[in-house]
Amino acid sequence: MTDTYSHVIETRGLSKAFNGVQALQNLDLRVPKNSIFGFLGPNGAGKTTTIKLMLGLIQPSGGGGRVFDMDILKDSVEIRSRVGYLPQEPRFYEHLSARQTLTFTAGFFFKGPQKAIADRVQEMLELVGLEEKADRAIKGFSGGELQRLGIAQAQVNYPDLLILDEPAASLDPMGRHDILELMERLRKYTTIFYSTHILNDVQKVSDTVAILNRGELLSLGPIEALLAGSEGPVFTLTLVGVSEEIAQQVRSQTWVNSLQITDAGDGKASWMVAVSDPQAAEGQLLRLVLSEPEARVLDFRRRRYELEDVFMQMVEGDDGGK
Amino acid sequence: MAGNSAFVIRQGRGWQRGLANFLTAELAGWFGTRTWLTHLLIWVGMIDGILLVTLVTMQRDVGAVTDLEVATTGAMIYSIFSGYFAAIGVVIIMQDAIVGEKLSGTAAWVLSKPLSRAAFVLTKLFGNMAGILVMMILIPGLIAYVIISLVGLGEWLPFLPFLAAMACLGVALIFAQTFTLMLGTLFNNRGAVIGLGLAFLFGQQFLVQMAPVLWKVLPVGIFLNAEPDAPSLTAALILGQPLPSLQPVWWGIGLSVLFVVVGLWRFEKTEL
Repeated sequence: MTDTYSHVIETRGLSKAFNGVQALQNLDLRVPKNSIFGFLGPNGAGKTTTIKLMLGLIQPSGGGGRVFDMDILKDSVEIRSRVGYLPQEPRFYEHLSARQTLTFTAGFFFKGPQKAIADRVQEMLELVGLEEKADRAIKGFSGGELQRLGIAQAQVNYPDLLILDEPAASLDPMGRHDILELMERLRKYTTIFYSTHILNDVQKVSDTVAILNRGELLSLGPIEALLAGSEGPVFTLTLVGVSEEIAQQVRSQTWVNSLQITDAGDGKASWMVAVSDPQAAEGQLLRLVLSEPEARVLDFRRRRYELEDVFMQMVEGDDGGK
Repeated sequence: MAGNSAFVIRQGRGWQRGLANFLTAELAGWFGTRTWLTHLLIWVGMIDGILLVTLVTMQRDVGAVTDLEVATTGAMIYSIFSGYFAAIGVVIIMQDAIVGEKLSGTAAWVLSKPLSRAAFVLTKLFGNMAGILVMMILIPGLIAYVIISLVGLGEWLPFLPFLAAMACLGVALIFAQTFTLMLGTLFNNRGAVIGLGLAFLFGQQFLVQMAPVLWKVLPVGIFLNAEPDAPSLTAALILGQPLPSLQPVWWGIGLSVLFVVVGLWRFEKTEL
């Protein structure tokens, strides 16, 4: 069967209130197929609520959504047959071993053959480094080991959509690194939707990002667009000896949106050039400036925001307005 | 799904989705671990141990009591312990079946897999029902049959009526089981479930005193008789005596079905 949808997850006006408190408000989300989708937000932003709504664990107060073009309310079980899910705080049956937990999980998806299931379980145990503890009851597992088991059980069914709620929580730096590597490897097979606080990780692997705060979507789009900032591509220059005439020439270019000049002291000027066509800027901006014989360029770079800056700006701006 | 061509994929929609896998695991919890042995020791010890000690003690008073009186006492002890005390055990076993999974988060985890909510509840019902009926009714009942027959009456009791008595006692336990299961879907608090479950069990005697019509409705009418000196339904079955009303059995079955329906309805709406 060939899937015809381009977005694995689509929500429209998805809302959820708990006892009159709005946890999620009119969420319109579109998660492209085969993307690694970073779902960001501070604690209580509504990330886990969104995930639970998509899995049918809770029911929306308003709006709706589709996963694999199936309705999250009517087709929940069918949706879950194609999803792998790692909860924020994984909880399993403590009397079972890791191997039994994975075999039990696989049993929801596969009838057999038993040999193939056993092989898949072993593969998952090795993938997350739990093969030596595979046959111990998980009652004594540490938080990190439970997290690893959670990651293994989420993948045991070769999911088309992997939903990871804070996958790197409880993991040491090596474990985090392994998770990111794994996500990169799985990208060609599956769509990964994951929530996290660790912004560095998102910047490393995600191609699409959504930022949520107080149950409202603040931003959604490709990470490149987000990192470019809201004013579009911006180039910064630190210059000495550039005349107003050259500045006027720069302003008159069709690919230049704006030019802001500030005094950087010691005779230096700091230019901030917002452009519509970054390639034209890369090819022509320096040439224009250096057409002034006295001009010296001390620094030239394209401004690139860190995700943390963008995130903090958005969240703090949103909170400030409340 | 990429990479799963080596597997036979589970198909199917609707309420039974995931039932086979989850039920297998639930039954393994009863019969694949030492749980079965623990329960067997508890219930055989409690029901048959007390029965045996009582009947042997009575038989020592040779001449004071007849074999029929010993067998009658045995039938009553067996009925009360299997129908009443075992029901307390059922409430204790079942109080955690739904609430425990809701509170620990395992219900949310397992329901993130292709498992319908109905299958979740029915697994808790049938998985535990199998354990309860085998460990609390079938095995202690067969041993009790031997004890009452050989130690009490001195000859074999008719087997089929004894089997029917066991089935009636099974109804009393299933009533307690389904009632506690339903409470588990209605509350998110272990105390409320076990408290209300036990309060109902203990309160049955008071309820039937206040409204005697309830003798025909509540499971207490299966293992006790409204007339203190008359045998209960199950004792009458075992001893081949005229039967009091069978209505508590039919009511027990009907109410158990109702409790399951309410539990299924409520759990569909439960937020995990």
